[in-house]
Amino acid sequence: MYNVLFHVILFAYLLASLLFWLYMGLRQRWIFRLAHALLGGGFGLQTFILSYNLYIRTLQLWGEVATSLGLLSWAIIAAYLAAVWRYRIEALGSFIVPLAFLAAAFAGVPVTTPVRLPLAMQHVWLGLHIVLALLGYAALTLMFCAGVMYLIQERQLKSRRPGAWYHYLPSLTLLDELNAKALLLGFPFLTQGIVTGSVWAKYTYGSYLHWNLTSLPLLLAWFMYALLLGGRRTLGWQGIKVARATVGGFLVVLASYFVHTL
Amino acid sequence: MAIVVVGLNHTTAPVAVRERLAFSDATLAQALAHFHPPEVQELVILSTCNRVEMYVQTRDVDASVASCVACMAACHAVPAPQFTSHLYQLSDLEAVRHLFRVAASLDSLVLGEPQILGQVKAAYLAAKAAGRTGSILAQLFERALSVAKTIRTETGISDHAVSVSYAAVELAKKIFESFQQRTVMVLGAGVTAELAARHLVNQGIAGMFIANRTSERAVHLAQALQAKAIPWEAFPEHLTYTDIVISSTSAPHPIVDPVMVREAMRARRSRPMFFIDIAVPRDVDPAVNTLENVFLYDIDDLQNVVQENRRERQREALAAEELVWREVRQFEQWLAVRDAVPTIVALRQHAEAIRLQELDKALHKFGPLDERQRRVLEALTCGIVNKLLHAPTVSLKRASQEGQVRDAVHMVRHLFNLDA
Repeated sequence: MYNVLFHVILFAYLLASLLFWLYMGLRQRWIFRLAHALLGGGFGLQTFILSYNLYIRTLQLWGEVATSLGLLSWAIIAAYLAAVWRYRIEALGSFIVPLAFLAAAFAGVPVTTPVRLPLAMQHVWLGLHIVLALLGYAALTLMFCAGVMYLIQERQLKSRRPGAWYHYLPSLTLLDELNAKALLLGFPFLTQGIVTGSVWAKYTYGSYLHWNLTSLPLLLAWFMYALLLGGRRTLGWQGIKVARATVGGFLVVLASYFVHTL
Repeated sequence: MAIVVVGLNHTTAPVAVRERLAFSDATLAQALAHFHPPEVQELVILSTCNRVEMYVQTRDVDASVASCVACMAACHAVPAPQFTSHLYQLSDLEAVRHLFRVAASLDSLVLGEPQILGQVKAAYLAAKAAGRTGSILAQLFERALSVAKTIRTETGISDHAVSVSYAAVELAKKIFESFQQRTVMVLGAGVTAELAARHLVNQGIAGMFIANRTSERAVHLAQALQAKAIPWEAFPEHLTYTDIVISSTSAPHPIVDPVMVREAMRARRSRPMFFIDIAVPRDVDPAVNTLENVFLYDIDDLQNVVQENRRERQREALAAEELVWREVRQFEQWLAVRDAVPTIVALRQHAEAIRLQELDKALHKFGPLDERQRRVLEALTCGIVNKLLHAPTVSLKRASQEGQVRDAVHMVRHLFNLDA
């Protein structure tokens, strides 16, 4: 049953991604609405399954990194919905929903062996750690998409012959603001993710700095956040510089994740 | 019954003819009040600077066209032969489609321009207030307005700017999102710069500087736009506080160079800047565009954008035409059902009258009957009438759904002699 529902969600996200791309080309409102309906349906179902699992089998859920990827896709969609609700950026779906789909698709593949969890106390810490870290990652994904859109729009405007992308994408200022807000929200999440992670490591392995599967991408992401935040706050970075740094940083984090797990 | 439109527009008549036939508010009211030929049941007059059209609902197409022409001639004291060659005349679904296209701005000089919708609405309301619209033209115009709104929201036909100054505002919006906290500087006090500046003022900018070599012109323009005039020499330092620069001086060489802008960008911590250079020869060194977070458009770039936007609107017009066709077919259906219902009612009334008449005769011949026998006779006659009329009623309804109601209505009216 879980398997079937999971594939339904996966299919809904895939279809929504394709529809968002179609909307980009055809610009018909009904396509946009249909894509959102699919996304909303998939997200609702996923929320239900995740909370049901959380309730029924806390132990396995937090123990499997594979499920954490399912959670990641959920967190990305949640971040997307929040951003669309706040900023009404229609083009965002074409960029971020495919990433959520990929995250969900990878969740179907067991990535690692379950972690041993002898004490109930530790589950809570690990659960907290994973959820916070994932919300941080979701904000990072949002920043990445805003960055990619910024780079495309910037190139359109600089070329002085703006084409279809120019009309489709929002303004540079709005994208920069989205990036800044996601940074401000994501940084505390990720920081707490690291803190709770090391507390959990202390409980489990007896050391705060235990080197495990997810810690390298997490630390890299944290450093990137810190760099961007510092750049924005003290050096007055904005616009193209931040966009480039965000896209680059995200790709490095992604690469480190794959190098680490595969 | 037919819907007819008689008129002329920018494609069929030169402005010399259009201006003589345009209805002013006064002549329009007069025409609506006094133009009452017997063959014209309903009337709406649409008069804009690009078109003069009379929409009528009539039983006699040719006679009503002739009287419309006579009305145009009489209202403006222009002899009919001087403009009849420019007139077009469309009837029924062609007329419906024409109005839908006009309202949706598919027939306009500038494709997708927004004013026409308001003009169609005003024409309709004026006719309605004068009591000249009945159920058909009222429905036609209500639908035309709703089609036009649908097309405006569902397609991108009026999305992109098709004039240079609006294109500049649109570009600025793609950089800054809103103008609320943006400051504009105008270099040179020419007419083109003023026009672009005025658009930006209407968008609600936070402030504006104006610099000109002759300061009287700058002060004068600053007063007109509620801006602040600054001395010409001070403009480089004001770049720091400026987000959008509109430049249109007659200087022979660039007056804004990359060094100047780089300096300003450093002071403003790389916040984006947008240069709109509408001067020929150009005022802003093209190399400025290579700086980070700085965007420069000259007059040719803006014209390219406008051209691309025109093409975009033309592409969107294809989708709009499709929507128009769909709505025309729906209106046709409405007309058909509307045609069928009175015929069905008339047919029923006709049969009921015959039934009552014959029943009366029979009752007279029978002499006194008891209640039960009377009821049997009633039921018998009702049954015969209902069964006989069932088939034609059903076929009329079916014909109206299939869009062939006109022939069916005609046939039924003829066979049962309903129009006598």
